[in-house]
Amino acid sequence: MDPLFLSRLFTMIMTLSIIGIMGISLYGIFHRPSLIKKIIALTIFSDAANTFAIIIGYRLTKGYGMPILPVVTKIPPSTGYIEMFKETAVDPLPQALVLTAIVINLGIIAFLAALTLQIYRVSRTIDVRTLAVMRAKEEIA
Amino acid sequence: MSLRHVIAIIAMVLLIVTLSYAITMGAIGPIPLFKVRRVSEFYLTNAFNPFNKTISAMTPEVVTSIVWDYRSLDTLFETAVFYLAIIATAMLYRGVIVRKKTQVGLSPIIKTVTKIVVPSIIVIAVAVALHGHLTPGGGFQGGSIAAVSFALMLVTFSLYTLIRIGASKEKLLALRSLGLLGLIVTSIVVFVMGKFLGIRAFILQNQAKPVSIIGLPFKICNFLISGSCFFFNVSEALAVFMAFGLLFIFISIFEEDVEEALKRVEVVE
Repeated sequence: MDPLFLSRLFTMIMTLSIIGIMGISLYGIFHRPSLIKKIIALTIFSDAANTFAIIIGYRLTKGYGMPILPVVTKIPPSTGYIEMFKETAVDPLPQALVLTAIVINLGIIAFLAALTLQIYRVSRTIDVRTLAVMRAKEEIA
Repeated sequence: MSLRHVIAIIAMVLLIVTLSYAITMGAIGPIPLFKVRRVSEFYLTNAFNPFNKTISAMTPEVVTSIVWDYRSLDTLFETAVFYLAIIATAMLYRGVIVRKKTQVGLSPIIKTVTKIVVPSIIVIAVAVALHGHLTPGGGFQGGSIAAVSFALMLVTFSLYTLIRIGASKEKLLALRSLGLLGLIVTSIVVFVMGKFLGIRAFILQNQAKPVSIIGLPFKICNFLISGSCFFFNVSEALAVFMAFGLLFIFISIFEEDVEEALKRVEVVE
């Protein structure tokens, strides 16, 4: 089979499965009542988004060889090496965007986990439906 | 199964089908391509280019050159977002006093294994952080790896042992601020140098630019340090390590201590 067609097909399958994971995680965020499960779904969503960005950064090389890491390994490089590097290295930009996004996600998730822990300590539940009822009762009282 | 449940599932399936259809029909173009995009081509060509030093970052790792040189302002603000999340967590736990108690932790076998594993984790973390400008990795990753060792020790030896050997909340906050200070100093050092010498220079500048002839050296004593990238990575690793350590301490504070603080807040209100 044509290698170009095959690589595009596999990339398409991966992209579509990531979209599927995103849909499932959105279901978890919107429809699960437990706050912890919402947070877990949020991590799945962010990881799917990051993987999507990385897949967009993938590239093919001439002759369908393996693309290389975006790291200059020959120091000092020659002009020919830089040309070759440009033709074979994968896209560094999505990786740079994902790199910081992962750590920030980790920070935000840790914050949300701490917040959920405090909510549990104050109200003894993390079910959003019960929390809403408690809030309504407090407003009536 | 209620009606709302069914509607939610149908909505998700519709979303998946619509997005998948759009991508199959070429909404994000044919991927993968034979060429990288134009802007990435610029980064790949100029990240380490001794023939064109004025626009090169002189960093062999292209991702690091983007993160800490070409788009370092973005990274600085992303760091700000990260630390705001940490500060928000610290605010949630204000007024919590950790009382000294004796806790035994896990069994001696696990403790011994942890004593062997933790130094190696720290070594890997330091290597990843210090080689951030040469190999994949950097400050964020190094700090996160080091934080894993902290979580491991927290579980095996208990929080009180850690506090006894000197990893208190205040100390971690101070060290985290030291890391952030390192980031700030590195980002303005060339600017300040230019002000003293009377030469035009910019904030977050790394190498010399066509309109500004000063910059940080990319090589010191035959060691490639890529100017500001090395210092950014080191301070970021310290700050991330301490920030995650702080988070782990907050999450694992003993239940009674937090509840006592919550009661105190209620009394004040």
